[in-house]
Amino acid sequence: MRPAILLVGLAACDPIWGASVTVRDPANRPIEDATVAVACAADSYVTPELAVRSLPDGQAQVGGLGSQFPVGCDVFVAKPGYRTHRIRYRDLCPNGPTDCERGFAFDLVLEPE
Amino acid sequence: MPRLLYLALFSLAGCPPPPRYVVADVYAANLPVQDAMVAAECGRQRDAALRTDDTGRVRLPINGRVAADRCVLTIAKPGYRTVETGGVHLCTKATACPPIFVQLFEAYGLPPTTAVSPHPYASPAAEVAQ
Repeated sequence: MRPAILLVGLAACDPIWGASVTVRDPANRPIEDATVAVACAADSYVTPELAVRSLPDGQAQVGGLGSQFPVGCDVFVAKPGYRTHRIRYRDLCPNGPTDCERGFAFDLVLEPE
Repeated sequence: MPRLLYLALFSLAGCPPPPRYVVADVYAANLPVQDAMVAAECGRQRDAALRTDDTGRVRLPINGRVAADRCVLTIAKPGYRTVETGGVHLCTKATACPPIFVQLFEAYGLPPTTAVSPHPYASPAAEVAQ
């Protein structure tokens, strides 16, 4: 019994990384169904399951288990009819992975094309 | 022996299905587009996304039992119009999968802006479409 409790306790301590994004239009209305993705290079070994759609309130959260933000991966926010945002890894982590936050939050305004 | 067989069948039934793949080639003005985001949304909570390589190609693994007709590809890169397309086919072998050709068109309109508000953890700059 005790090992099981210990295991549950340790599992709860797993580090996580993530990006929390709120997407709005210039009139401050939330944008639903925008694609929010942490997109890594095609040859990376990071799990590619890192895309979600924004909810009716414009919020989207993407992330996973791990002690650091995926190295070399950029945050994309895109929706047809709007200009795409790309936040590069080098801007997220200018000092490299050893001196980088694990969690980011963005409040983005998507401009219509 | 039958017991072993049953055990093997039972164990295999619990295995997840092998991943399938979507392969896409992204072009603009007949030239490959590197570093475009390609996301495959197949009606699950989390979907797949990768960036295209220098040949404009991406091979996206799709895990789980999903129907191809539920998948929508989103292709985006700053400076180009975002495209969403259905008609996705899923292959079990990435190297033998016929690619979906996607043609991007340049976006015209407002000048580039930076529209990232302050946030609690860090303050990266955002690159916005030209």
